[in-house]
Amino acid sequence: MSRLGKEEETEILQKIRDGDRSAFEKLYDAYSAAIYGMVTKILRSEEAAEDVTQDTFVKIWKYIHSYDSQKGKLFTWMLNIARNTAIDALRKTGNVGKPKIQTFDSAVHISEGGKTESPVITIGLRDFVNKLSPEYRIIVNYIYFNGYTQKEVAEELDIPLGTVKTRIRKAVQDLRKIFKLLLLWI
Amino acid sequence: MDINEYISSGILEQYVLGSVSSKEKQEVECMASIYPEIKSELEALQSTLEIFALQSEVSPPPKLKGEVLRAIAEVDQIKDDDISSASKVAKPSSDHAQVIRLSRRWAAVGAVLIVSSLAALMFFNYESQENLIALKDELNQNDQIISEQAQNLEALRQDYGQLASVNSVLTNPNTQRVEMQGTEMFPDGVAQVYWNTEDQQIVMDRGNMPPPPEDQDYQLWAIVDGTPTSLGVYPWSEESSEPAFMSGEIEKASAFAVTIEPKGGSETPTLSKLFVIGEV
Repeated sequence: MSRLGKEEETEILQKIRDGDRSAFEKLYDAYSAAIYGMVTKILRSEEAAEDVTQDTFVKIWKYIHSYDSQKGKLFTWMLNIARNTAIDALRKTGNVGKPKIQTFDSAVHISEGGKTESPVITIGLRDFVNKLSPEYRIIVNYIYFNGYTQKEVAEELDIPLGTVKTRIRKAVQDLRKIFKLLLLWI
Repeated sequence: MDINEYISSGILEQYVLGSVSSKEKQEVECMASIYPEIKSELEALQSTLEIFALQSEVSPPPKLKGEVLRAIAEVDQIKDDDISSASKVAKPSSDHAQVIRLSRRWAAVGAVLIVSSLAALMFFNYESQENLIALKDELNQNDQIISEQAQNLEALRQDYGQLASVNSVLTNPNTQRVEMQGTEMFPDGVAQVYWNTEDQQIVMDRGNMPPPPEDQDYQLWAIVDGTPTSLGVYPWSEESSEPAFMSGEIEKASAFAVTIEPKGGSETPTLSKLFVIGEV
């Protein structure tokens, strides 16, 4: 799911490629909260998150011509840039060795500024996410939010590499199951 | 190529979590462009991650928007034709010196390319060595498991062989069953001796006898012409209560008895420690 409809997104994409800054502003309005929220989760510092969010949007602007819609959705592409930029920043500050592993309990933020249309969805989300069992939550946190390699996770948790791979699959599949119901709502 | 196998391999999940090497990344994208099933699976997984990201939405401070818009005003977009026109710059020149300078530049470019491809090669080599080590580990572990299983199997085989021969004594028509009753030491006790009078083998069933004290053994005796003859200590086992072969051959006997003796058994029975006894 994304905040812009597919046609709207195609139109905005074309305008941005033509150098239209007001179209880019629309893109920012639609996705900045998701990106800022995610990089804050990775960096655990609002100040650093602001810098990284800015860098991310600059990169999106700069490299918008290399986005290939055949390879995936625009939002996915933007999230990848945000995550990579955040993890690079995390590595530079040397925080990567000592992650504070967040549980989803502490990680779920109810969005501010009336972004969430239905309170039912927000309340439901907490319950959905909490259904992910702890060994899968920790894997997602290490890899997705702390940029650990699979090998590093295996060493950190003292489990075989094969188990890490299996758990990644299980974790994403479980997330998918959890969100399947949610997809019908949004 | 089995598409379902590829989908269930877990590589797509690793891809969406951003946990694949650049080589694997290319592979996944290539597979998704060839097989629609893989592509739709990948898209579904990506949607999951998008929702996952959206659930932690936080609006950035309002001032950030202005900063972002100011920043992009100073940055040019990189277009594909920029990249291709950049590569067109190096046109051969009729000027000899220019050609030399250019070829030097190309030599430098070549050197950089060689160094970077070497680095890439080393990286992949390092990766595959890591994989190799992991594989070797796995193989070693498997070998160990196999040899453990083989030992278990051998032990089971021996147990089975033992039981089969015990059984052959028990079911032999020439086998005589002698029931031994408990003495004052063990009033409710019952144990049995199976005596094949033809090939003179002896099997003892421990009946309801309790485990012997730690430093002691049960010893079986045959009373032959009024004299106790040792048939060895009973091989007590925690795991199995099956009848066991006793040592020695007995041609004739008037009775069988079990005494408690110091570990390893005694030359002559300690009669005060007579446990069970039965007349033939």
